[in-house]
Parts: sequence; structure tokens; C-alpha cells
Amino acid sequence: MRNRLNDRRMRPLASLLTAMLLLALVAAGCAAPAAAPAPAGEAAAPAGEAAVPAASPAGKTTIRLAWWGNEPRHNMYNDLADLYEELNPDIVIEREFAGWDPYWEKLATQVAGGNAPDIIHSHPNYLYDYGNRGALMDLTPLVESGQIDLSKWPQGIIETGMIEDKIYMLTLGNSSVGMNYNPELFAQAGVDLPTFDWTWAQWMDTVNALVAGLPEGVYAMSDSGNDTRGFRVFLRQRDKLFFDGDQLGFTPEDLRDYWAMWEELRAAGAMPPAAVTQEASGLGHADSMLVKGQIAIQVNSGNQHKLYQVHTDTELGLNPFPHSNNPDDPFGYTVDGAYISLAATTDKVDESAAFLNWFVNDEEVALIYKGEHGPPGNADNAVLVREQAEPADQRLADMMAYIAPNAIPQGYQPPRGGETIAAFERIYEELAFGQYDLDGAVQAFFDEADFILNQ
Amino acid sequence: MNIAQPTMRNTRAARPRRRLRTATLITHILLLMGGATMLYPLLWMLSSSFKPESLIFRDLSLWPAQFTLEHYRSGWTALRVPFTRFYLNSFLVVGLTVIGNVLSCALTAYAFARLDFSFKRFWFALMLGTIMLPYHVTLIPQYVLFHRLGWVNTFLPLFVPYFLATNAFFVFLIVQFIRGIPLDLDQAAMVDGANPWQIFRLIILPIAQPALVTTAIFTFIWNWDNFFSNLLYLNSINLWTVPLGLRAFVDSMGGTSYGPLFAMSILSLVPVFIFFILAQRQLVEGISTSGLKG
Amino acid sequence: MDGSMSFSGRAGIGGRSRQGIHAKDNLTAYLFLTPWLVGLFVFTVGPILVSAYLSFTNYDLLTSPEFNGLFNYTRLLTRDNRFAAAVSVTARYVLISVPLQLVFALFVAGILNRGLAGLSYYRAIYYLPSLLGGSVAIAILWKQVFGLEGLFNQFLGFAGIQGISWIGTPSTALYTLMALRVWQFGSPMLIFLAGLKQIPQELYEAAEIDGARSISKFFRITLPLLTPIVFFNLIMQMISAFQAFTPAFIISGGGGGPADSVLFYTLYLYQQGFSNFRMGYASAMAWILLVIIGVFTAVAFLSSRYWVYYEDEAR
Repeated sequence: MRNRLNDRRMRPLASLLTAMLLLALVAAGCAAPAAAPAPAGEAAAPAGEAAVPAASPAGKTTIRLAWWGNEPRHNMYNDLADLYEELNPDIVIEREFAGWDPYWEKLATQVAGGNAPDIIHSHPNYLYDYGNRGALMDLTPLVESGQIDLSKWPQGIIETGMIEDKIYMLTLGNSSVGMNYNPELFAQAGVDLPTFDWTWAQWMDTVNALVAGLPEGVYAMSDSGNDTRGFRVFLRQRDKLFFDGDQLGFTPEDLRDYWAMWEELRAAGAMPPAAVTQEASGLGHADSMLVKGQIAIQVNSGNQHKLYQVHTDTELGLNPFPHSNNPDDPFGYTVDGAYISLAATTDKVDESAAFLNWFVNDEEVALIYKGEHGPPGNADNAVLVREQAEPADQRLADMMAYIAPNAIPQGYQPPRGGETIAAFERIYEELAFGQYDLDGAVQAFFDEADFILNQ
Repeated sequence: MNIAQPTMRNTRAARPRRRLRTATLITHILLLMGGATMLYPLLWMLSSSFKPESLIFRDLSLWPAQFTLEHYRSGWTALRVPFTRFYLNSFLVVGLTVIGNVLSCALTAYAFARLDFSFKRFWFALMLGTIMLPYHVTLIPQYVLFHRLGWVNTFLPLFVPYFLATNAFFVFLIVQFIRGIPLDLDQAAMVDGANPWQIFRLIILPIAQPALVTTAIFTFIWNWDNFFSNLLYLNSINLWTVPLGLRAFVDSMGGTSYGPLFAMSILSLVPVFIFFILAQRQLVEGISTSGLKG
Repeated sequence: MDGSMSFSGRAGIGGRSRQGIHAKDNLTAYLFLTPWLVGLFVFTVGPILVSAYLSFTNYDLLTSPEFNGLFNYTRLLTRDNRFAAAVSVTARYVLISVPLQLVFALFVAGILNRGLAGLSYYRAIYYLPSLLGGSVAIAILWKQVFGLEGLFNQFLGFAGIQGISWIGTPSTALYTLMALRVWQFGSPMLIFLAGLKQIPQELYEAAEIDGARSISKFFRITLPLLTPIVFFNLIMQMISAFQAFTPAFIISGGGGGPADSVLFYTLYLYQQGFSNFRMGYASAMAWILLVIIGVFTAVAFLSSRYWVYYEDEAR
């Protein structure tokens, strides 16, 4: 009797499970050609080889390309990869992409497992982390042999991707941190627009004037004292670097002077409340305070400028960071951007190098890429792109034209550099929330930097 | 029964009935209000998925002032590979996970709940210990292991461990349930000459159905939304599951488009929801009968 | 074969209280256990040993691990301020949200168990938030709801209260995450419901005849018989709360902010392992977490002798 009872009850569950199993089998049938999991053959490959699990179609070589980005960029990269496959029928490009944070997380794990993609995107923030640990391939021999042609590249630009005299990454577009601003709000407040050669003092005057002229609820300046790129400009003007070898390259007084400016502006009511800034930092460009007309000046990398512009009809402006008040002080600017590298563990060197060369030099690519990260490294292409650029891109090009000739790469970043910078940003936030006073914050940062770098 | 009571019971009878009705009504109202509050954020997301983008954060009402299916259409094909593929992949992976988990956990739970063997206490403690194990401890070594096996960029790392009862939580759940089943049935069967395997298959397994169904449900739900391990092991877009597809909408380097995100989120909920509704009936019927009645 | 059915009243398994009535049979038992044993060694014990070793090393994922003794542990426990912050955040999260969640779960389960009409609909409604669990979409929704211009503040606005950015302010951010967890009480509620259904009606009927009222019935019949389920839910939710990750990750963008106010333990562990390349350090953190959870669980188990009653034991 019990079995009969249970049969009746079992039926719905049994049919549910059967349906799932059937569905799973159907899905397996559909998925099998695409997934092609590696059978015993791959497992027999010597350990440590970056064997690509998916089997290559007969006669073709598969190279793996990874990048970070958002939807429009993913589509563009996929189009470019398709184009390359058309031009090179014996190559198949396997694509991996993710957002910025997941990209780096996954890359770290892949490198640890010896499974990094052949062609990876890199960034100055990570150059030393990955370069010094041997995760990136030294491209210098490939350049010397002509497989990668850098004849049209200015030396200064090439150097931004080097550690000592080895080339580890090539730029896909350089940019520098800048101040994006809304000229209409300036006009509304009756304040003159900034010029490329403005100083810190002029900057503060401008901001204070904006505070006086703007209505309630519209802020003058973004709360960006935590942006280390801006701080590096400040330090360079004092002939210092953020890092000097494995230690900090500046003193508590330097930091105090810099943050004091921002605290003064905060006291004047120039910046949004800390919680508002906090929340806004997670939003995309479309929802940003700049686009919504709630803030007059927003610090961000120059190559983000056009991403703001796309969402508003107001023609925005882009200005470099201020110069030192003392005209004799150094220029100060640094450049960053997105870069491309080869994984040291790749076994498809020739094919990957060929793709790399095409990607950074080909005209058609440059026209499709359209300065996604900033003006390209290849000088001819830079001119080409600029001619076709939209006003927003031209503003970036203008700013970079002003900065690049005298700019220097970010400089050496020690292994714990990223962590130190994260601490810098966090402690400034805590300062913004009032959890510290200025001296307390400076001290807290130096304590923590010491903890990170030395203990 | 008490005979002295009748008169008192008669007068009490009228009042409880009215009190009961009012009490029930109030309970229903409170439950509905509570439920509405709980569900409001979800309902808002649902209704937003049908509103044009510009209205989503301006129009608070749950009924869209303007109705559009655009987000569903654009969201489904917004990525290079349509969500059809993602759903198929998710069903495949999660389906295998559920089957493996139910089978292997039931086997293991029976041993702990009904059998006696050397070192039983030790193994049980060890099993409980693995529940408490933070998954980050084993993350890197597991990844390296899967790479050596050539299993990265396949579905294998996602479901194979489930055929090996690695999810001790459910073993624990089923053990607790089986321990609640009185031993009389087992004894009766043993008298009839049944061996442990037969008892497992014919008696314990059917009676433990509520626990098995709960296991299946929770396994499905927890793995349907699994994000990090999917991200780690599924590189090619053709292998992506629904959470990875959803994540592609949300990124750190561009505008967020809430309309399609909400639309796809709602859709990702649907399989889980259906599964629960269907299995709910099963759950109820199974739970309301314990092995011995009367 | 033992004719009497008396067992010692211990909550533990094994030992003198034999759960099964079969004679000791290692072969059968171990056959049943084979899948689990294989999984245990290959996917759990092996990796655990490796990570235990790693916790005493300096390992940055790209070069070989280098032994450094107790350095990681001493640094964590004596010098790392953020570690202390992470412990504090996580402890508050666990100790406040788990009991709250269970109280709601039991309360609603108790109401739903009264044989109301539409039970399955109510159950589905209250379980729905839990169904979505720790998905990415819900975390993002939550961020919207408790943002400066989010739903919550819109409703406060109706009451004339000016809301702040709940997720952007350090003193309130953690509470939004606690709310998220408590909102998901449907999962333990379901388990409570299953347990409540198992309580025989006769017991209530007998009590009613003796004149017992609802509250009395609850505390003298329902609750004691539910204690195994309470125990189970308590352990499971506590462990899950200690390991909470996704909501904090999504809402804070991985940073644990604002100002480390939602720096959950596992989030900090993740940062140290994957952002800072301190895999040895992160492994040490994982082990410390294991110890913490172990202590809590051991306390719970030891105390369970005094308040948990099992059906298959004589009292």
C-alpha cells in the first residue's frame, strides 16, 4: 500500500526530473559542437603548457584574445576579430571578455594556472605586477625581427610600455587624467572657462567662483582628492614620484599640502556630500552627475570624455590638471591608457605577434577602433583618426597634443603598489566622511603604507 | 468525556466561531500586507522591465504608464550570443548538478543515519567540517587541478563534484530527516529479510522524498544563480550561463541600461519560479505524511 | 538483535547511541560512502592540505611559494587593522541578521501552519525573495532601492522624511545588507514549515482538551519539537552568513566600502588573494575563518544537549 501511495506522489517529481534530464540531454546535444571539452589527448600534454582546451578546427590555428570593456566595446572587438579571421582564413580567434574587475580577477587565476590567453590587454597599473613576475612576453625580439613594426611610433610612446629596456606592452591609446567640465554651468555662474595652462591657485579661484554662482544642489567640483593620477601630477611638479623604488616617494607634508586644497574646497561647499559621491561612483556615464548637470567639473581619464559626451547635448570641455603655482616647476603630467601584450606562456608566438602587429598598425583597424582609449601609438594612424574624430575625440587629442610631448610614464610601481593606492583612495574617502581630520588622515595613510610595503 | 460540561460548551461555542472568523480575516490582511511589502522591490523591477527607460526611475507606480516589450527583445539579443544559448547551458549544468547531488547525498546520508560502521563518528564530524569550509580555501588548488585535467573552459568542474556528494549541507539535511523516521519500518523489513540496500531503496528513499525534493529544489536554486565559479571556468561565450550573461549588462566601464537588465533578470527568475511552483505540490503532499500514520 | 528500543538521549551520532539497528557492517557502509569519499579526498581534503601549506608561505600566484612560517598569522592578528575591521563587520552581520532572520522565519511559518486558505500562495510569496538568493540582479536592485534616489527614500518622502544614501553612508551601509539577508527569511521558513507539519496533530488536540491556549501550545509543544530544525537552521544560516560575499561585492563594487563599512571577511580575503596577490596570506585568513566558524559550531553543538530533542530518542 505504501508503494502505491508513493507512486502517485512520485509521478509529478519523476516527470519533472525526467523533463529536466531530457532538456539537459537536448542542451548537451546542442552544446557539444561548441563546447568540445578536452578529452584524454589534452590531459596527456605536458603540464605547464598553455594548451587550449577547445580543439581547433582542422588546418586552422586558434589564438585566444582577451579584453575588458562594456557592450559597445565587446561588439567592436568582435567585429575586429571577425575581420582578422576573414583576412587570415587559417586563424581562428577565440574571444574572452569581461568587465574591468572580473577581467583582472580572472586573468590572475588564469596566469596562476598557466592558462592565460595568448593575447591579453594590459594596463600601466599592472605592468610591474605582471611584467616583473614573468607573465608577459618580452616583445623586444619581435620588434627587432620586424614581426612587430614600430617604425611609426614615437619613442616616448613606446617607452610607456617598457620596463628598463624590454618592451612588454604596446599602447592602444594614451590618455591622461583631466578635468571634464560643463561650459553651460560656467556660463550660468559667470565664470571664465579654464585654460590649458592654469595653475592650482587659479583652479581654486575658479571653483570658489563656481560655488558662489551656482544654484543649490549643483556642485562645483567632483570630490577627487583620492585620484592618485592627479596627485602624481602634483608630485611631479615637486620633482617627486609616488613611489621611489619600493617605498613612497613623497613626504607627509606633500600629501598634507595636496589634501589641504581639497579640504578647503570641501569646507566651501564645492563638492557633493561624501555619500553622494560614493553612490555616484558606481554609476555609468549616462547616469553621472556631469551628464545630469549636477556638477560643473568632473575629474576622470581623458579617454572617458567622449563617453560622457555621448549622453548629453551640451558640448562638454576637457582640461588638463593645473600646473604648479610656480612657473619654474616641472611640467608634471603622466600618461596612462590601455595596452596590449602577449602572455609569456603562449605557444602561438608567430600567429599572436602577427595579430598584434595588425591590431596596432593597420589603418582599417585604426578607423574602426577610432581612438577608443585615446590617440593610437602609430603616429600616422593618430593623424588619420584625429581627422575623422568627433568634437569630443578632438578635444582629447588636443589635450594629449598639449601633454604628450612632455609627459612621462607613470613610473615604477612596486609589487604592493596597487594595494597602497587602494589604501590611499580609501583613507581619503574616510577623510571625506569625516572619520579623520586632515592630519589624522595623512598619518593614517603613512601608517598603512608602511604596513603594506614593509610588513 | 465530560458530561458536566455541555451547558458551558454551548455558550462558548457561539463566541469562538465569530472570534475565529475575525481572527482569520485579520491574519489574512496582515499576511497580505506583509507579503506586499516583501515583494514590492521585485514587483517594481518587474514593472520597470516593461517601462521605457526614461520612466523607470521617475514613475513609481507598479502599473507602467507606458508599456513596452522593447527591453525583453533588445535584452535577449543584446549580447553577441542570444540568451537562448545561455539558458540551454544553464539547464544542462544545473540539471546534471541536481541529479548528481540528490543521488550521491542520499546514498551518503543513509549510511550515516542508518548504518553502523567503524570510524562513523570521525567521518561524520569530518563531513560536518566540510560544510563549514570557506570555499576560498580550496579555490586555487581546485582551479589548478581542473586545469591539469584539461577541464577548464568546459562544464565539467561545475557539476562533477556534485556527483561525489561534495555538498555536505544536503547530506546533513537528509540525515536529520532520516533520523526523524522511526525505526519500526526498518525493523519490519529486516524481519522480512531485507538487506540495507533494499531498505534504502524501497523504504527510506520513498519516505525521505520531502528531503530529497528539498535537496533538488535548493540545489537547483543555488546553482542556477551561481556566479563566481561560472565566471572562473566558463571562458567562451558559447559556454556562458545565465548569470554570466546578466553580468555582461552590468560592468564598470560604461552606462548601465536598467531596462534590459531588469527584463533579463526577471526572465532568469522564471525557471526557478516554475520549478518551485511545480515542486511545491510534491513537497506538501510528501511532508504531510510521515512514514507511520495512526 | 536487541529487542528493547531504548537509546541513550544524546544529540550526537555514533558512540553508544546506535542509530541504526543493523549490526556493524563496514563493507556495505563504505560502499554507500564511496562517492562521498572520492569527492572528499579529491576536491576537499587535497586542496585543503595544499592551502594549509600555502598559509605558511608567501605565494603570489606567479612564482613558487616561499615558506615564511607564522608571518601571515601574526601579521593578521596583531598588525592588520583592516582585518580587525573585517572581523567586526562580519561579526555584527552574523550576530544581528541571523537571529532576526530566524525569528521572522519561525513567526511566519507558525502563522502559515494554521491551515489557512491559500497557504501555497502565501508560502510562495514569502519564499520568493529567498528564491532569488544572492544573485547579481538582486544585489543591483538592492543598491537601487537604498540609494539616494531609491525606492526606500521615495517612500520615506511620502512620510515627509528626507532620506540619505543608505548604501553610500558608512554608518548605514551594513544595515542595508542585513536587511537584505533578513528579507530572505523564506528559505529557513520553508524548513520550519516542513518541521511544523511533522508535529502530530494529536498532540495539539490533547493539549486543547486540557485547556491549553495558543501561546502555551506554541511554547510547550511546537517549539520543543522544533528544536532540531531550529538547530539546523541556526547552524546553516550562521555558516552562510559568515561566508557572505556576493551582495557586499556587488553593492560595494568589490571595495568593501564606503570606508570599509561592508568589508565582509570573505570579501577582504578575496581582496588579499586576488587583488593583492597575497595567496598565502589569504589562505591564512581562510584558516582563521575556519577556526572561528568551528568554535561557533562547537558551542552550538555542545549546547544542543540542553535544548534539542530528537524524535528517535527516548526522553
